[in-house]
Amino acid sequence: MLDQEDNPRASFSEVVLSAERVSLSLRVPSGPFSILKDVSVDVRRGEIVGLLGPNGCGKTTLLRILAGLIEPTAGSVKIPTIPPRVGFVFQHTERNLLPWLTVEGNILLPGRTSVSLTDGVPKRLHRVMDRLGLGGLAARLPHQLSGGQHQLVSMARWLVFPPGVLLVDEGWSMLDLLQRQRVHQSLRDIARQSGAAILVVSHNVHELAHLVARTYFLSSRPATVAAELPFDPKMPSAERSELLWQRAKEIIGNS
Amino acid sequence: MLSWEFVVRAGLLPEVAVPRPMAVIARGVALLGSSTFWTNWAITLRTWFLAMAVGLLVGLLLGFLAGAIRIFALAVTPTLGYFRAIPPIALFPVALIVFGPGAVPIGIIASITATLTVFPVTAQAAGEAAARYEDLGTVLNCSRLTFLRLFVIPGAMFQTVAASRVAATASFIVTVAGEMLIGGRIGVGASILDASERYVLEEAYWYIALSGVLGLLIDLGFSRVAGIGSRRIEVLVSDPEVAPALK
Repeated sequence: MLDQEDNPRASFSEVVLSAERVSLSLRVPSGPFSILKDVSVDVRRGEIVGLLGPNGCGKTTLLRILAGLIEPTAGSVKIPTIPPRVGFVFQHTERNLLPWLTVEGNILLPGRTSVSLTDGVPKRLHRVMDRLGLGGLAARLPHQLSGGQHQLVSMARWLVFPPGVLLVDEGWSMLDLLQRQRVHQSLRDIARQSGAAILVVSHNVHELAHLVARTYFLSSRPATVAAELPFDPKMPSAERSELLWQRAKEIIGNS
Repeated sequence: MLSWEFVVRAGLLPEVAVPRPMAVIARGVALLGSSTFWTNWAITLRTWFLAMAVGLLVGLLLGFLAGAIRIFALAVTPTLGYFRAIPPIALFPVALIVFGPGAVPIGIIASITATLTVFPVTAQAAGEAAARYEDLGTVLNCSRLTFLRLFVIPGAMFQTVAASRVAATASFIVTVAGEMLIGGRIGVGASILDASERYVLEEAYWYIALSGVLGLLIDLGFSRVAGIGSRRIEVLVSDPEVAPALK
């Protein structure tokens, strides 16, 4: 049991994203097909939380429910009310970027859908693009970019317009090591500076261990929260990584 | 042209059916000084242009609505699919009875042709764009109109312009055919028929050759529009109030 000082939740007070006993079942010809069952997760203001689970267990589905893209069949979801409420880096890059807009146009898309989001944008835009190595690509179209650059542009959008909640579905799977570190640092910065609550799906256990304050493990279908692993902020990175890896092997291996 | 000239001069095709190209050009040059020639073209082009413009407008509107609103698609797609299976020329007798001869029934049938050509492609492309970007639009909290303007219309634009190109040519063909069948004595189609009946085949071929040239120009024009559109599409979809603030 962690004491108050060591408990990672203690430094993140306000819950801005929560799912309470969320379930999702589909009706198929053979009968009801349960995808999620009584899943409860929460993410606090300024906190980065990981989500791990076996392939096809419903991690993306849970993110879509949290973003309001799918209505759960049971349970409730709480998300922020002030725009931009939820940012989402989709797993499939073609759903993130509009092929007829330039890199800059794609990043600035939230400003086009909400006139209230224009304050300080030019300054943030240039800072984020430079930081992610997109500075020379502003006028390029998506088809002129690599898969990794697609992911960087998708991520850059939400760094320029920090949302209350950011959901990242394997958002850096095609990035090289240096770019991943840049993205991780940028996520830490927006969590700290703007208070964004960030929920990250990744299969890279070691990266998650370095980035997140807690991790939820989902079981295989119907997915439930098999375990929640909070990290002691004082724990060295190597130990976190080892601990997360051991738990992942136990839980994913057993499910 | 040389092959044509050679084939006719060599007697491979009877000159009574296929005049020599030099004879066609000579007759055509003579016609350039005739006001009737220009009047015929003016009437045909006016009928075609108005029919195409109205037909495309209706087809694009119905197509985008069908792509964006599923219930609307379910309501109109079967009906339009039914009419698309009917050759437009088969509707001329009906139009003749209802409206009488002249440009009005021809324009209506040509317009329907443009609508039926552009609608299914637009509806399909708009539906695919709406499905692809629905999640992003929802996350960005877009209104239905903003989603249509920023995501669906530009997402379907390339296929739509391609379909419009086909529709423009198809409506021109129907316009000329309509002038032959129910157009009375004026217009390019009527002139082709008239010249053929008078056995002035050089004149008929001159009109036919120019129709082909005009069809090619229409096609090239739409190709140019598609090229310009692809470069300017970002400007078209940008919000004039927000874009300057972002620069």
